[in-house]
Amino acid sequence: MTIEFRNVHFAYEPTVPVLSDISFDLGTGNFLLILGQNGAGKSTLLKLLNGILKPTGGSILVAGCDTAMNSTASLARHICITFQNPADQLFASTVRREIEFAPRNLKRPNAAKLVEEALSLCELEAAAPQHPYDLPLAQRKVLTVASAVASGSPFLAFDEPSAGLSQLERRLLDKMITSLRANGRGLLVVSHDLELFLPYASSVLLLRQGMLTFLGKPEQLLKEKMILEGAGLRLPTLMRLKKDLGMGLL
Amino acid sequence: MAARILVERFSFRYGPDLPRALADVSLDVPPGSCCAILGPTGAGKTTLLHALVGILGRHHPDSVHSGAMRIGKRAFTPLPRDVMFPEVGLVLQDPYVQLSGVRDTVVDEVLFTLENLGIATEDAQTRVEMILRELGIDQLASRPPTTLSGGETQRLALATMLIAEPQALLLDEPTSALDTAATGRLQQIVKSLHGRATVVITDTHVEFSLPLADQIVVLHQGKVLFAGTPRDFILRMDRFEDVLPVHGWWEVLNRFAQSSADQSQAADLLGKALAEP
Repeated sequence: MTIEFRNVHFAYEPTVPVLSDISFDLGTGNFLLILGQNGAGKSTLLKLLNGILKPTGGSILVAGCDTAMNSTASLARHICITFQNPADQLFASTVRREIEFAPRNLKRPNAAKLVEEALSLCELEAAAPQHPYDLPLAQRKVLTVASAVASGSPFLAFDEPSAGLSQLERRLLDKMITSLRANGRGLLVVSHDLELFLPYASSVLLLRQGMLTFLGKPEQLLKEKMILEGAGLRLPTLMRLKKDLGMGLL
Repeated sequence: MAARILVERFSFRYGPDLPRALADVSLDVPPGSCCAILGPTGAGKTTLLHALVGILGRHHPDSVHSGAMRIGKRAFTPLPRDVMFPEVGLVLQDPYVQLSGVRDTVVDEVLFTLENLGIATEDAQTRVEMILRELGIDQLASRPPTTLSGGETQRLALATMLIAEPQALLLDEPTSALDTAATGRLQQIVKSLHGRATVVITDTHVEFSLPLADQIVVLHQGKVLFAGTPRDFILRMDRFEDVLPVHGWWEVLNRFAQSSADQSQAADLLGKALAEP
């Protein structure tokens, strides 16, 4: 099962291209880390994946379904995404109901099991009866991931999942990603958090002003300084220091 | 003129039956200096900033509190009950809720701050453009605020505060949505405020704050675990491995120590490396 981007273009306004000629493939069991400056088109790319936005050129196939011809609701069977801002996503009256929404609507036969597994994996059992907006921001972000996980969809895409998380939730996210990869889910993560996600990435996609400037292995990205700099980015200080001192990064 | 921020033995509960969100917190931030409050989520960092800017006292009338607080020449017992803006400016952790939602362009959103304060002057437009340029979002000046990315929105929220030239600027996890280039630019901006405004930053990470701060405070479960210079923090950061992502930094410090006379010299090397642009 794969995601196929074929020469994808997108513009909110006809004269202002946001994404230009993006092509890549991703199979289940793989992890694609999407990098780029603020405004490079990363979040737009995620919204194209599940049909919230439709490409203005090229095509996107998710598990063989053309996103231009299918609704977001039907694509959710194959891919679930989370937004950068949890307020754009959370709507249910309790944490449990929020997590139940996707598997129930997708009529997953094992819905109850998926809900319990997501609650357990994301360590939200104790918070299950609470209103999502009574949780701190960091836990609300974990909840958005949990509701995507519970969908049972083979592909999951997360927009800045570690932003605003402290050490405790970062460790949790670490554990969650390891488990999701072990279960063969395909993951697409938009993040500036190279330290956390680069070791997981099977490939890295780098955007600059809506154009793909690099698609390859993390090792190659780290080897050639110019690749990141060419996209207006640089290694975080800690990774730069570790690299200079000959310490392992991946 | 920058304001001194003094917090003395401040304790706070959101309600009489709720646990203490802050317990005996004391803080002294000299005028024009920068203080970084580090800690995990739920440590009380945001509560403290909301207390300083006045929204805690205003929005939680049933809260229970004790202690004392002073911002510049104004003393509070224990906390301000009216919003302190523009003397104190706060950039919220979630920048989306900070924007007015009634202005059509980025420039107008920033001008809105001055209009609300009744201090819009003839050169206001020029000042707005200058701040947008400083923040690296001048190319977005005519865009609707709702079309900006997360990191761009965060910078716009900061612009709406900077335009009012607050005596104290409180930044609640300002880098959580910023890319590395924007983070570097924000560091330069906070540095440029040194002496002009007292800055308090909260953060769950150390990388952004350590090179900027004159003082580091580690907050955990509402209590101050540590208060001292960045150098002292570096030397003791292994104590905070459970609450802050410092493990990698500790490893680097130990690697520096292998080629240094002692841990203290290694801390200097790490501090120097952190300060490099």
